[in-house]
Amino acid sequence: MNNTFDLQRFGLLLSKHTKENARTYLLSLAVLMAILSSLLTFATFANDGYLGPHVQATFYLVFKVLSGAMFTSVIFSDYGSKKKAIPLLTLPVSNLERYLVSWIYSYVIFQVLYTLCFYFIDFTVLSIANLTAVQKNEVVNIVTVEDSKFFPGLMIFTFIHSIFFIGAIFFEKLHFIKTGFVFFASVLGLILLNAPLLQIIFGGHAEFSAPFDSMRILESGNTIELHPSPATVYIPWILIAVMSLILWVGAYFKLKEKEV
Amino acid sequence: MIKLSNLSFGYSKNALLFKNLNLELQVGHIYGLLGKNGAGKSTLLKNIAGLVFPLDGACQVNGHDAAARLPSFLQELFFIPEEVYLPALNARGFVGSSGQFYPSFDHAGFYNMLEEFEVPADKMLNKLSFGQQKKVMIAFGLATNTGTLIMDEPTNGLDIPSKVQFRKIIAAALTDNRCIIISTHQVRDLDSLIDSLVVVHNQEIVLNKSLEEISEKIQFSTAVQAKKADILYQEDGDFGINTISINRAENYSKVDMELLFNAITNKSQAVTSYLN
Repeated sequence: MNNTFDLQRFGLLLSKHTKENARTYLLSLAVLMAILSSLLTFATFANDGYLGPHVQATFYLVFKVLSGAMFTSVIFSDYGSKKKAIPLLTLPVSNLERYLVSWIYSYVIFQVLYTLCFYFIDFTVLSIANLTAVQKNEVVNIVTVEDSKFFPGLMIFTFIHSIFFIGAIFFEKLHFIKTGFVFFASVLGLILLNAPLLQIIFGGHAEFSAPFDSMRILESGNTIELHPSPATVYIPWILIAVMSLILWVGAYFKLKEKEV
Repeated sequence: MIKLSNLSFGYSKNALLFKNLNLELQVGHIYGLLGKNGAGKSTLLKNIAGLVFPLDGACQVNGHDAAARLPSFLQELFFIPEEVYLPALNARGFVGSSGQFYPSFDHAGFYNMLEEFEVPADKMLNKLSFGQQKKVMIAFGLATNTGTLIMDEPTNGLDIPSKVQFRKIIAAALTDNRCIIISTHQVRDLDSLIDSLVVVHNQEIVLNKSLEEISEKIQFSTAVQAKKADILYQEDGDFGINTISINRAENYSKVDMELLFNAITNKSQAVTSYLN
């Protein structure tokens, strides 16, 4: 018997998870669709029945990140309840299979369903608006839209997902609030620490600046400005990818060590 | 076989619940696990099921390290907790989604037990009463046919007729390849059911003996029937003074588990020392 991963066992677990949570997931999806349609309708008709592709793409991304974070934050919530965690942890499946079911649901299935729902609502709202609009609407292609934010958007979603994914298994209750608090506290800490750190590394007087971006140092009355070279533009994205991977791996080990 | 070797466990290192615990449980037996409230009965069972990890020592079940929670270990163990959770599915749906993980799952046996417990198979399980949910879980646990079946306070929430059915069903479920452990604080519920007794007290396993071994060594009688010099423990009962005395004549007497438990957990060391 393969104690690490067995495709048949994984399929059974995925199917069990789906059967037992389908109702809650469908209800959540319905709520998300209702909020999204209300806001898209309001935005379209508040602008004389026109919604530009960039606005549509922004709606897509902002709602994906927000609703994705909320959904991911509760993906392990059953492990926080003693009553529910015991049957989950004693079910004959491996920790990797348990982990993958939650990861696939919150990262892959969520994005697919969200995208389908978004397009369905976007298409419906814009079709209705086009009946009377002077300037006709076109449904945005989120991948090819001019000045596409598809890749950065995907990276941001991945990073936020990994944060709320580890928060979901780390905290037992109020996952979304607690994870959000830790995340914002860490970002604030990083921003506040950036200038003193730069000062230690470069000497002189480092002015306040955002991490991984341009910096200004005041030395002997001269201000030295350093800008990232075009070659380093990918560093933040690589950092985000590495951080996401670390957090995903961390969530696996936290699940493996889960006690009830 | 379940083997605990020098197992130490505590929710913090400064407050140990068990220290250097050693215990061996064999297949073919129904063990009754007794202990006062807070003695750590449930925690001991959770160590065996791999739900909590020892701070020191090891817990092995059929050669598997329980804490690793490998599928090969879990498909041979079923744990029925004191508070059960069932999803919003009917019995058929539940068996369909969960029974397949256990290679020896007995579908017919499950439905027969539900019928015996008078639990409707078509109702949503999460809408059933606590007692009925418990019966579904007991039936499911028995139907998994795992080598190790652990039940934490299984009779809590069961009415009197159901407790009788429970005893009958459990007694019939024991095979030579199965080890059943039942933890309870309602000693009388285990009457005529268990064949071995494990008592947890003061961070230790103070007793792990079969009822046969116990009744060979000590006898339970009223003060009038017992030899005064052989009395190890006595307490007031409804019909006079009940005693535990040395069984010199090798007379068989039914083990009064409640009296024995009181004798072990009260400050008197005589019974524990004599039995061990």
